[in-house]
Amino acid sequence: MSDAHSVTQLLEQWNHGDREALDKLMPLIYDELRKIAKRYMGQQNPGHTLQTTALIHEAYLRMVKQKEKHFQNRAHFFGVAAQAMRHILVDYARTRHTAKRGGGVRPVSLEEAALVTPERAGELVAFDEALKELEQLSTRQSRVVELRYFGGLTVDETATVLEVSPETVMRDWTMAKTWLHRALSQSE
Amino acid sequence: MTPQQYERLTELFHDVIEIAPDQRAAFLNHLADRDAELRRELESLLTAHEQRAGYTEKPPDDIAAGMYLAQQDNGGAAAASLPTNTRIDRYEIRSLLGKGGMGEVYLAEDTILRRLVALKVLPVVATANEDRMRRFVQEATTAAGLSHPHIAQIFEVGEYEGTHFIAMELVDGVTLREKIHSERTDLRKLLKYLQQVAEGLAKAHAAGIVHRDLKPDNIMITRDDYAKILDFGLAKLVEIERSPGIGGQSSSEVGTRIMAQQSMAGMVMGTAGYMSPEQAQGKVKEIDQRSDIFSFGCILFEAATGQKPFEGEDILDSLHKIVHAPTPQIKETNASAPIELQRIVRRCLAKDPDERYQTIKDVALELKEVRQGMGGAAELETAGPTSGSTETLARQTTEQSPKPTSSAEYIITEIRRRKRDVTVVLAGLVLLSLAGIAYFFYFARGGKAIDSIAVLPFVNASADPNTDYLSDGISETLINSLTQLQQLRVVARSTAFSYKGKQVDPQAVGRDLNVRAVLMGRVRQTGDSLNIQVDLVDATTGAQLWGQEYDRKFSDIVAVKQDIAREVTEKLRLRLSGAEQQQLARRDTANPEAYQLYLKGRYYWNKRTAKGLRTAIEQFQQAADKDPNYALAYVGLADCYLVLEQYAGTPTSETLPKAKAAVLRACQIDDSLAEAHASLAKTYGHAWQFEESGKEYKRAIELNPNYPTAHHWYSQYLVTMGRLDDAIAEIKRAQQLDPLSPVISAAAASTYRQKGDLDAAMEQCKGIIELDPTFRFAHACLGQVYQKQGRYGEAIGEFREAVEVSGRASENLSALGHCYAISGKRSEAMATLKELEEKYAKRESAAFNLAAVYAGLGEKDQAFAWLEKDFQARSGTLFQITFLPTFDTLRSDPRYADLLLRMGLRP
Repeated sequence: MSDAHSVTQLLEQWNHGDREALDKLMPLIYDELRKIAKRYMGQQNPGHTLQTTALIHEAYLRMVKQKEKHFQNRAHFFGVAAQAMRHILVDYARTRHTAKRGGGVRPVSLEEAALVTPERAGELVAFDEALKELEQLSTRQSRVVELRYFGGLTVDETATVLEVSPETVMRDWTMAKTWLHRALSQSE
Repeated sequence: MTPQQYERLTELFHDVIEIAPDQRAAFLNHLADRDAELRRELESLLTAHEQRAGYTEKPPDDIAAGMYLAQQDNGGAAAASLPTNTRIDRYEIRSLLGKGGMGEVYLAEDTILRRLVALKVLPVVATANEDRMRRFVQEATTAAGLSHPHIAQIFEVGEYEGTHFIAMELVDGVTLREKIHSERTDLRKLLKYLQQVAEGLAKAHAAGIVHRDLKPDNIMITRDDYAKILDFGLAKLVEIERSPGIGGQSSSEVGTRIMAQQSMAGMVMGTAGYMSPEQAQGKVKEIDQRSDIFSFGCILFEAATGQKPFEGEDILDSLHKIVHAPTPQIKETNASAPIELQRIVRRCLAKDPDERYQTIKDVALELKEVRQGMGGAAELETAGPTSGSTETLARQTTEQSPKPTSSAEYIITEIRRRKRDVTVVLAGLVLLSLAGIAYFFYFARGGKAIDSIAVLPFVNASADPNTDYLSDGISETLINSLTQLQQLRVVARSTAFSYKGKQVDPQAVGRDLNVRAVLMGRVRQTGDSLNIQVDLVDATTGAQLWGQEYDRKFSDIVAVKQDIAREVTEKLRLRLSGAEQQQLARRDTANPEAYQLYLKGRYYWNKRTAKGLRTAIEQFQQAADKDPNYALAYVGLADCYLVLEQYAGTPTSETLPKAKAAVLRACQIDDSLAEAHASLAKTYGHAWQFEESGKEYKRAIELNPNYPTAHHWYSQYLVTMGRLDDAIAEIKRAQQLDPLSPVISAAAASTYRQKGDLDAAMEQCKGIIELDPTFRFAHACLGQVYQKQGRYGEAIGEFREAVEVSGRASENLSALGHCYAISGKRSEAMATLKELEEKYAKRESAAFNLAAVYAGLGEKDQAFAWLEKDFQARSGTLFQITFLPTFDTLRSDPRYADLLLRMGLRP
């Protein structure tokens, strides 16, 4: 059960220099996101695509006390959430993808299935793999993509999370996008 | 690849994409010697970059098809015949992009290669003729082999369940037609595009492919300003055959045949305006590369004049003209086009193919020369990175040389030749000064590019001090233009302007403000003419990087802002998206008089005196009258009304409605203007709509996080809301963005004082005084700190100074009176009270100013009575009582909490 206090506290701790606080946040955020995603799916039409950034926004509103809306804290929350979101989505996608290919590993619930449409599934898996490759070449560039693509962070927010200048973020983004595009065009 | 290699690759990649495509080969060749592997990687990355799938732009779920809008002939809002998600071979339809002359074009996704493509689906009728279809596929397949930056690549030509399709590169941009007619792009730029088209054509011709249907509608200009030719080889589908056995045909027969054939094919007949004479006459066997050259000539003519060279009343008429009418003169429609252009066009449009250029490559070369001859700006573009150096251009004199030796002089001589469009020339002036800067950013040797600059207030060297607004205005224009550039950090206006009237040492400025370059200048106006001198100095070494002197007519002073912004960003190789360009256009005005008035308005507003503000209002109002779509003028107007209350005591009932009307109009014109939203937020604050106020501040900051005023005012708002820590964060940010602004520093001081951090407050005050000891904020600020420290004597001294300097403004009188009161000087306090009462009667003071003095005297009933007066009048500045120290003694009284609640604030 995620406690609004503990999340806020962890963010504050991070703010004061406790780097590990963010790691502790991860499971909390992950849980919350999954819960919200499930709820969404219950309501929406199947096949109706989901806004991942909306999910993260909602998680943020629920998990962080209204008053403590520091710019940096928000950015870092989103940073962690972006990672969590990536795990969740790719997880679903893999399952969906293997199911599609006929190698059904575990039964996919209807709700989970709706989160990632069949067309997207294969794409996401490929994207995730390519991103992992990129990580081997440049951790920061892959992180930029993760934050912007899965977390919907703005350039400034990304700059805050990574503690670099916005210009650096833009350069990373341009290069990473191009590299990824090429990698994905070449893949099967 | 190792991470280190990847890092190198990243660096090279960024270097390469900065260079224009036609120069990249040279750059890459340079690499080949050292590292063939790297070069291969780079090249493939470049291809990927050009393809630019929007794939990774958005979060996984909403990759919107609408992102790519290859705007081809849109024949109205007809419904697509293929719904979304239809599968054609391995392509999945996403949406309809448009209807071309030959079928519909869809945005589709290649499900195997996972990229977006443009899918042209050919109408069945066109493909019915097997022979023709076969020939078409043959040609299209060859075309598919063409790989060139200026040709939209064809990926595949295929057939799926009876439907023939072509999968092509998706191009994000607008057609050349739009550039010429809707956007009215200037000729220099159009020629750049056409040169690129010529180069692309050259490649195709070398491969044996003739386009046959070249026209502005199938030339796209991408967002990055490259031309791309579409639809190679397609024209084979609609070839008009000569009827066998009869030699030659009259154009009318051809025309009828064309129309019949086309309508049979179910196609929309485009214009015949770009056909070559041999095509018009149906001499199919004689159609070769030179036919394309003819079409190219037509487009060239249209670019220069806005009209087609052979336009008739209908198709038949047009065809007749193509075959028989002489080539018209460009100068009949456009006198200012380069003379060489007419020669090129004439040769392209020769009726006999043998008399035309024989290769399009020659045309490309000649176009390049024409562009170079058109002015210095073009030179910069064709010059590659290897030609850079830090040579300084010698200062120009105004004497006319027989032949222009520099771009500046070229423009001067051009002025004397041209009669009209002098403002365009002036755009050239500012363009040049900025282009000169650009030159050094990108081509400077020995060290990093210049990434930060301070534009100092230009010195007014005229005899008349009243023309300060001119010299100030020019500096401000340059600051504003340069601030738009992302790669450049530009020092804020108020900070730079703190150097006004002072002797400047560029190196000292560079150290103080932490900038690499300083731009300074001098303006002298004598009668009808204006002399401007500009200097760009390297702040690290003190060396002059570049200098220029200009002589203009006074009436030409105001530059055409939109052109400047666009040209500059082009020069500095920055790419603004279409939306950003539009945004720039909306915020500025094309009307020189309006702009001049706006400059004056800002100048007076910055003085922050009652008199200055009233003059400013006049200026802004006139500016808005001249150009009703000038968003910034309305913002200026609103700002004046908002601060009028504070500095002149004009009641809210008078100022607020006007402020509101002005700022709403500004928002209406351009909702994305951060300045408008910041002013709107302040307006809401004055109207006690605190929740809306907060929202608007956030929006303003979102729109432009680098606008210091938004953070400044937001900080004051936060203080009112009781959120002191957030307020401090915001004011810090404002100071970061504008370190030397006295108004912001004063706000910072007050906020620190509120928090109880007197040392920090004192420091801020000292900073302000250092900047300008005569500025009343400095004294008011210091007075408050002394008062808090109990040093009443000194406090009174400061408050009296503030009163004097401000021309006895009521807010300063109030502070003085209060201080007299709490230090026991009762009669003096009463005296100020009397003065304030008189001001109140004359509507020059808010009521709470009197309440403050009563509070100091301990007469709480009176104090609250006066506060009530302001409450009843819904005074916009009443919220200040939440942080003004003069009300500290009232805060514990229940009536204070009650008042706040009634205002909608939390006590």
